[in-house]
Amino acid sequence: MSESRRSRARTIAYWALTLIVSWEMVAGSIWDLLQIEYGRAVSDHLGYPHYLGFILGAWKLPCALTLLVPRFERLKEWAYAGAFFNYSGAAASHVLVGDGVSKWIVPIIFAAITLGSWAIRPADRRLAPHAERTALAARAWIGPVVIVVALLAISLATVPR
Amino acid sequence: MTLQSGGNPGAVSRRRRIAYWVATVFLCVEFGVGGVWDLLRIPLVRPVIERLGYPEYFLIILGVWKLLAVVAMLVPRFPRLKEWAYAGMFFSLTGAIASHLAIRDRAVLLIYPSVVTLAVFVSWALRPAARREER
Repeated sequence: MSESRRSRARTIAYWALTLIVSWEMVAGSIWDLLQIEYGRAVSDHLGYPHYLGFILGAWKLPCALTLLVPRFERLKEWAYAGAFFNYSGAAASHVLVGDGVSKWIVPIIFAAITLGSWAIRPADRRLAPHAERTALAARAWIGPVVIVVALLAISLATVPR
Repeated sequence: MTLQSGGNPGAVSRRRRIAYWVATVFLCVEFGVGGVWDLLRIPLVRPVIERLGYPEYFLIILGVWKLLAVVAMLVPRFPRLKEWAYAGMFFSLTGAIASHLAIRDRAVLLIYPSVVTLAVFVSWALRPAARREER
């Protein structure tokens, strides 16, 4: 594969993984904050208090936003860390209450997607020593903002009753 | 920042280093001892987690991460790993504060997690260049 082809495949993979995590985070945030029936049932099953949904839901939206916008490299590390703690904690909880693979495989996959997005994030979205900072066009913000609004709209329109 | 104003640069950097290590050692003791207590689920921590409405096994998840955070803070280098450790400590402490608030716990119980949160901020803000990843 040629160099430019490889870098394009990497960019596409990065955005695919990042969009999946962001979508899960936006939808999860809405579900948690609205305290929908499904979330309460999972929370009861795992033995967590319902108010944890408000704590998690409040973090998930800024997490998605941080992952999608340009720059904020250090904040992105925190968002990836939070996402990883969230998914791995969910998987560990399912394991510790004795649930089968079908329950904990889903958060494990999301944890893996989070790490994948982190591992292949482009240089300009990465904390690196002595990295050159280039000027950022205002239009670089348009895409991320449109994505966030779209994810919010889709998530709100598809809230399970 | 007051630590950077006045005095000669050498004294300032020494004060800064001392403040960093005081905060960091305090965090290592807090999270190291707390992590072991959580993993052993001693009678001191169990009633707290129960009163907050969390399952007892949550202490195992917390304990494992707390000990890993201590390792990340103490080893030299690994600035990105340290960033994750600070994030984890911040999320767990603010989560603890929010949880106490959610069950309308006594206000005095918010003081200690707030002090530890402050220590996280001090340690993070004053971490030396070799322990910091620059952009």
